[in-house]
Amino acid sequence: MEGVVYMAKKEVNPVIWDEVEGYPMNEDVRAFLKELLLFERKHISEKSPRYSEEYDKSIEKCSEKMEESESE
Amino acid sequence: MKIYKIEIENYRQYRGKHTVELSTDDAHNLTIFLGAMGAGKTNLLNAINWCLYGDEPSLEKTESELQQCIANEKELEDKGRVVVRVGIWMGIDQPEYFFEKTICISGSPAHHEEREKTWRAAYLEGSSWRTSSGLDWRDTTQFNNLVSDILPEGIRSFFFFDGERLDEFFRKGMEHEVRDAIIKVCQIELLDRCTNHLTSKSKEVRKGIKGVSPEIKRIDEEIKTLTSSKEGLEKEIEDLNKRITEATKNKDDVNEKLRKWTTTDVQELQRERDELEIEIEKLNKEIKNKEKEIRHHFASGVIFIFGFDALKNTHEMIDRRIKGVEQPPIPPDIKDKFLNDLLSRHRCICTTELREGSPQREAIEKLLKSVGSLSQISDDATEGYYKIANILEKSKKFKSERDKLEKEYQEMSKERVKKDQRLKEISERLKGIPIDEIQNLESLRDDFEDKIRECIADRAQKDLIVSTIKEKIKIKNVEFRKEIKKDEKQKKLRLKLELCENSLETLKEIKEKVVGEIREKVEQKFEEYFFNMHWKRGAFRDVKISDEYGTSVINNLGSECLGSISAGERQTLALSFMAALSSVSGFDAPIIIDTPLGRISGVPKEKIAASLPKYLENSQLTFLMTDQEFTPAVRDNMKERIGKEFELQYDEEEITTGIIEMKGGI
Repeated sequence: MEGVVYMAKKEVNPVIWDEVEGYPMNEDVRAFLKELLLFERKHISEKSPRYSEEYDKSIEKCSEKMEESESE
Repeated sequence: MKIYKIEIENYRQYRGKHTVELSTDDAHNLTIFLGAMGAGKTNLLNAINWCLYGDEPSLEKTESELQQCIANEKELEDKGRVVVRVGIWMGIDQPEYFFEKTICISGSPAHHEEREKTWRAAYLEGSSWRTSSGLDWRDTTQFNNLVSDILPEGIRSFFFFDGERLDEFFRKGMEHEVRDAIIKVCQIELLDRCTNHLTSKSKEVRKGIKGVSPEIKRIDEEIKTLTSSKEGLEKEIEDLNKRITEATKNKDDVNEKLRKWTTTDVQELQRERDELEIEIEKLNKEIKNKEKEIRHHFASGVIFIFGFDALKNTHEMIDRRIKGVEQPPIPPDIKDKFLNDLLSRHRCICTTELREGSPQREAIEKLLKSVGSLSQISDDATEGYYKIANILEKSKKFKSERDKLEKEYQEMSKERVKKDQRLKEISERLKGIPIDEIQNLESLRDDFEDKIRECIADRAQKDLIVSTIKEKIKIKNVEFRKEIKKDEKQKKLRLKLELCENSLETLKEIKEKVVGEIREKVEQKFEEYFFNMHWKRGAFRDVKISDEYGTSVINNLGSECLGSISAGERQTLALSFMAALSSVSGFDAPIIIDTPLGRISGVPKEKIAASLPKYLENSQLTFLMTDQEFTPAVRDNMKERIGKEFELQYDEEEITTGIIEMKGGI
């Protein structure tokens, strides 16, 4: 059932999604926030979703990109 | 997202297998199920809920109904073992999701036992179905996740609901319901969840920073201490909010008992108190606004308040000197260019010749020397004179405006005192009625009011402390990051921390914008739908949702009237709200309404029938209606939107309902 993720993207309220798309911020942070929103949307029915691992992965990925940009 | 097909088998009065295909035509988005009381309308909605969410929220929770068997009783009686099954196909342009639940029941209607419970969920990927299934309802996570993609459990009551129960939504004291609805249905909770989870991660990252300088350690300790006091206070505020909600509900219960008291004097006093409380609430808002207006007026007129005497004295002094009654006078307003012209032309404007060495020429030359510095003084004095006069004029207006504002404020305050006094009198009169129960109710009400007041005051104090602490934490975080930037070894952790904290800040800003935007959009649609659906033109002036999500309906006299509108009007209000909410929600889900026009009569019913499908034109709609609702006039008003019509025919002997499609209309 992994494939259900593709449904979630279009189901985040467009008002929220558009605000994240258009808000002035670093592009890495934007991608990071979108990942978090999609995760939360996917698990919206769960009271305590197991978020920790997913968040760790996203934080790791985004901070690595930030490190690369800082080194440049 | 639409429901394409529903299969019901042996569920309650649906004996045997029934298949219903709803209208999936966008131009005819409405499906009607017509049935008498007890024919199975609500159980059709229950079947959908039971399949998707495993419960039946529309079931009246009476003891007899709870004991009732979910299986068709006649079938169980005949066979001793029945498989109950509900299957639902959903999708956007074609069936893309399938959900199914079954339960096996054995025994008799009076003594039955639930046996195997199975579930199946599938979705279409490309051209093949991916299916999951289970033989146990204890772990239905995959099933629930797929349902949640379409319509999460927490918000389904805004899409599948009983129209007759809707009016409770806008009763007094239900503001939190409206707030929760907007937060949930518009997915603002996604931002809250991101914030909460990211805050925890941020704390973890901070804990991971080790071997740092004493300065970093010191700042970190300070942040920890501040954060822990902030969290402690936030918990206390949450607790206070709960206590306020509980006390408000209890107070409203007492009000309700008094409203329904057997004698009219008590009813009338309570009704008067209800109206007074609404008026006081409105007055309090107006007083607050007036205070703001006065503060703003004072701020804009500081110059008039502190400089009035000095300006007035200066103006009078210049005036005296212009008139020459005070020395030294204002220098004559003669320009040096003018005198130079006379000298170069060798003739004065009075035609006197200004020969070299003549006393007249010498006099003008002398004047020219002095005018060089004095003409500017004269210009400044004249300009200042008129400017000050202008300011003094404005200050008179400022004073009269201030007097007007203060008078209005005083009048409002007096009005409030009068209304407060009347509230006290009502309470005293109720306490004076020689009936123990009324006296007890009134003293209970006093206790609840005291509790609410105390909690609100306490909360305000704590809110203030929390916002001060938040500011301090913000400053300390900046210090922390500045310090840690100096240490190259901590770069990775520092970047993670920066990412978490910057994201949290951005999420907060986005939430503020989004909440305001969504509230405005819901309010705009809510107002538009209500005014178009409401039948008494001109009876209401405004429908508003405040920043705190309180709803107000303003009548044509400008008074708040939510507490006094009829049940039918409340239902219209709620239908408008639901329609507005679903149009702004971000969820593309079908809407099913049981008895949508239940409490509405005559002409209003027809008007709503014509408007509601229009406002929900982007959603698939299913109305479960009685024949009192689905009159020929109602049908006529809806016909352009109707895609399919079904009749639920209940057979009492067989204890079964047949679902008959009426191709030519009912």
